[in-house]
Amino acid sequence: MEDEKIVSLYWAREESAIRETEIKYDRYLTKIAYNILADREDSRESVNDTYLAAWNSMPPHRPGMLSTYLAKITRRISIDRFRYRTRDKRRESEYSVSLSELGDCVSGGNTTEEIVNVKLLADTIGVFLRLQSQEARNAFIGRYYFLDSIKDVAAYCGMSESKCKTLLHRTRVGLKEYLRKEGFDV
Amino acid sequence: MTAEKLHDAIGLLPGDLVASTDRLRTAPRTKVFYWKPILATAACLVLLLSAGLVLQRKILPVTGMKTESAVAAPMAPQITMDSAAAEAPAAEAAPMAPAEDAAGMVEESAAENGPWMDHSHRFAEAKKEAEEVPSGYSGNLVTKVWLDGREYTLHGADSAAMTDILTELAYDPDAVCRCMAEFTVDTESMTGIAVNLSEAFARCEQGQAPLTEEQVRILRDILEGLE
Repeated sequence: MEDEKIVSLYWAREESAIRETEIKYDRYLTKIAYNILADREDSRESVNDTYLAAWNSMPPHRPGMLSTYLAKITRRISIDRFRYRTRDKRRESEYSVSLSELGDCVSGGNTTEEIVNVKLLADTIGVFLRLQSQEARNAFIGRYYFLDSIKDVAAYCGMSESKCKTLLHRTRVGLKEYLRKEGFDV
Repeated sequence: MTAEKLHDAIGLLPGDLVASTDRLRTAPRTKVFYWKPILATAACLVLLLSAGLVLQRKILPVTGMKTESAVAAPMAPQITMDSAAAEAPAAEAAPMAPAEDAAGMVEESAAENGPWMDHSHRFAEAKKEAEEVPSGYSGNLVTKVWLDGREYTLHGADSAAMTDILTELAYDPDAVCRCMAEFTVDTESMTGIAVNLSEAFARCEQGQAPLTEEQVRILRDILEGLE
């Protein structure tokens, strides 16, 4: 079913909206959740929570691209679930690995004086990414937004894993410099 | 700023950037066919097969063809083997050795050799010693014969007789002609002896020698006994 029709079902408060969403996006959303949580049961719960969040948010929202909209919800829910886990229950996942990678871009400080406007930071990162090559942009977003493995990112970007790693490293270094230049305390 | 804050910010990236990458990652991937390794493997196989064929030709003697010494030999003068042949018995004296019916192979070779041959062969003078098998040979003597693409191994009396005949000939390097061999023989002491019973000669690295009629008969009998 087309995304427009599914969104219309949500707006019409038809319960078949969730069923149609599940049919079309269940696997897609489960992969994103699993990349973060590395646990099938937790991933299942995150995806179910996504359907609930989608039901509660449409209306008023009417997303143009349902896949991106749902992916954002799943990502947020899964990361929150990951952080909610106690330290000893956190599993090694693509999210945890990417956290260590992104540690290259930041100092790691978290003092009370540091108030980061996340939205402003997001806009700045967006501008930075638009200045990069399409290859670097896709690799960065694939790795740090969708949290795909290096192997998967390399495969759909059409490059070797070593090239992908090098590209991501250079992009991280470039991002750090750009954020510093824009006044962020990295 | 922490890496988690950075992650949160990445989660708020503009939708068009995210959608563009999402299209790429969800697009059906075309299966890449890595043809280069397959091509390289095929090329290596072809090279190995070619090398094997070349080695096979060099190592194994080719039956029914001219020996290397015959091919490499300069254009032999049109000799009639007068120096080697003596007056043969009147009943059997003939320019060409009679092509007796010995499994048909010698007749075919004679037909092959006949039309373009520019010289003739005669039987060598019969020598008593050549007709008798020395008693010194043991039954362990092994002789290999290549005939019509097949390899035969001779033991015992046949092996001794063939060895005795072919190794005791007076090979003359000046008497080498270009007539083709009908079969080749490897004895324990000499290898690559090309023999033509129709033309009654044997040829090896040392040269060429005519065969007596009796020798031809003995060798032909041996060939007929091959399985």
